[in-house]
Amino acid sequence: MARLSPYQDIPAHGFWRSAVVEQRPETLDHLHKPKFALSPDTAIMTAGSCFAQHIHRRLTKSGWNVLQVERLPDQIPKSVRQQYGYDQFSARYGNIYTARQLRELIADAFADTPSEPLIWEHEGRFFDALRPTVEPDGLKFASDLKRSRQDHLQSVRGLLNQTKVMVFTLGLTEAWLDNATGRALPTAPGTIAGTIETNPATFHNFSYPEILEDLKQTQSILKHQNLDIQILLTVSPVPLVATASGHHVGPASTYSKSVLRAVCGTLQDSDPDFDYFPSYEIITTPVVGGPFFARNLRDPSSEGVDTVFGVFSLAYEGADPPLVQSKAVPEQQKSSEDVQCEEILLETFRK
Amino acid sequence: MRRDPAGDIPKMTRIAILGNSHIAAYKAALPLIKSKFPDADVTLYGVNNADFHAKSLGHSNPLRVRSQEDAQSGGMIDIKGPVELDLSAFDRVLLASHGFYLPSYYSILATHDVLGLTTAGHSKSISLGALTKAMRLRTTAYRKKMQQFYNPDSRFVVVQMPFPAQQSVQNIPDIAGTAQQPDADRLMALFNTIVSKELKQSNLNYAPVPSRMIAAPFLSLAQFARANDLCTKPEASDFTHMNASYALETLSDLLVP
Repeated sequence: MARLSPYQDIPAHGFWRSAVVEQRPETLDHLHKPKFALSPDTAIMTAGSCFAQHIHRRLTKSGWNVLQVERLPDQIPKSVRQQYGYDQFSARYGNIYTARQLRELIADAFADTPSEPLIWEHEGRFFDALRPTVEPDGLKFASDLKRSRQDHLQSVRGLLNQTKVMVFTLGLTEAWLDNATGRALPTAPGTIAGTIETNPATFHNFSYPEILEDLKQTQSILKHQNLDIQILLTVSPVPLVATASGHHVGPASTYSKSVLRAVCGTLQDSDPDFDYFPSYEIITTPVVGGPFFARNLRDPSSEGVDTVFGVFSLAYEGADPPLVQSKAVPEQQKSSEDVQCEEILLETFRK
Repeated sequence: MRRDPAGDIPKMTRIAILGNSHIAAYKAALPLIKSKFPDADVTLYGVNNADFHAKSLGHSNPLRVRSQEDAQSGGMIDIKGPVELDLSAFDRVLLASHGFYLPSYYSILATHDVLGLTTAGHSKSISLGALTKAMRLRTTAYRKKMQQFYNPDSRFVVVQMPFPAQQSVQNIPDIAGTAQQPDADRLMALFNTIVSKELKQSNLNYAPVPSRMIAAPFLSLAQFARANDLCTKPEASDFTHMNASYALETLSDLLVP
């Protein structure tokens, strides 16, 4: 039989109707086809934005070999450890929202002379501007903060030396750069400590080329240290809580996530040491029965997080697929706007 | 000493002392107590503090241990006390030797610098803020469990667990390291303040270790070590439990304010 279209031989997972509307079971294990091996024994480092905390906790709870440095003894209650930035990620770096932050952290960790800490002062207490949440009340002495940062960088260096796979969750393109040093900050001055008047910083919305370059440079630093670390990228499905871009927060979120997702796609397709896991799509779209948002329409629901890890386990461990409830609407119920779309013609080739 | 409101005549005071292995000091002190306070009728009752955490006894009156053997296997010493105790029959109830998790902090303070205080040169650190918050949370949790278990009223006094004796620094590294913290005095004051405030806010009577019995932060005077009253090995190296003199001093403070 003559081959009529390039879509003729595409399997079921390539079609929206069979993969998403009908949720055919055989399509689910194609949602993520790992490029490199990852098993519960692999030494994993987690880092990134808030969603990376879900990844860290779930993998740790499930018995995966998630590395953890900078621990406090068990005598310190779990709630205190978490409030002070312990056990949230593989090290006590707080949220790393941007690729630039990651690059600068890793560069600092291996630098012969790490850059001077950025210190914010608030009501006589000192905060590390590069991770201001890890000491919620700040520290009494600036010298303690310097020592704490030095210890932290040493721990990060040790962590990277053990890591085989880094799971990094990209959160934002928007950031504030410290005017004096150019360093990317996790939050604007004045949000937790410091003020925009005395700690001047400039808003910056990282572009696709900049983020791509930051991730490549991160990889380059690791290779320069003879570290063979593969990087599994994810994009946080959590929308921006606020934008400084001047745009509506909705389109600003979409722009930010789109740029991040595009960078991931480029690296996934072009570099053997980068891969992408679609937690963003699982939470925000109907690909696996979603979207999955909590009542505040921002945080992922627990069902969504369960589904993310169901797909993760299916992809890497061959576990049973997660239970998926199709939210398909009846055929006769048309969309509110019956638009014409050439794409829909491709449906005729669906198997 | 309890007095009869009608005639101001001293009457027999019935005292129950409940506690873990630290009540051995009170057992050793019984002859001294009898001599100094002839009207005091002291009953000792072994309760492993772990029992009220595990809620294995639950709040009940009378308190009942499963058996003396069980009590001993839980780390209790043999005090030959009663198996059952009706707390309503006592004028005073001493809940002896409550540490509010202090021993668990020794291992942290022996190995960590406390950021915010003078550093000791350890490679690991914890901020004073995190340590304080942990102490507060855990002290509250301890107090709640203790209160739920004993349902204490105004007759009850919570007695602080004794600090280990000075000699303990020779054979217990965690205690040595804690005592060597440059700001050990401030750390001890921090802990004591947190516990005192917690109990005061809950209207519980509290008897901290009297300062005259403390040699240095976190350390009792050497003369109070149980080892001083023993002549056999290996018990002679017991510097964490106190002796009869210590118990008598503590009881005297409570009976003769």
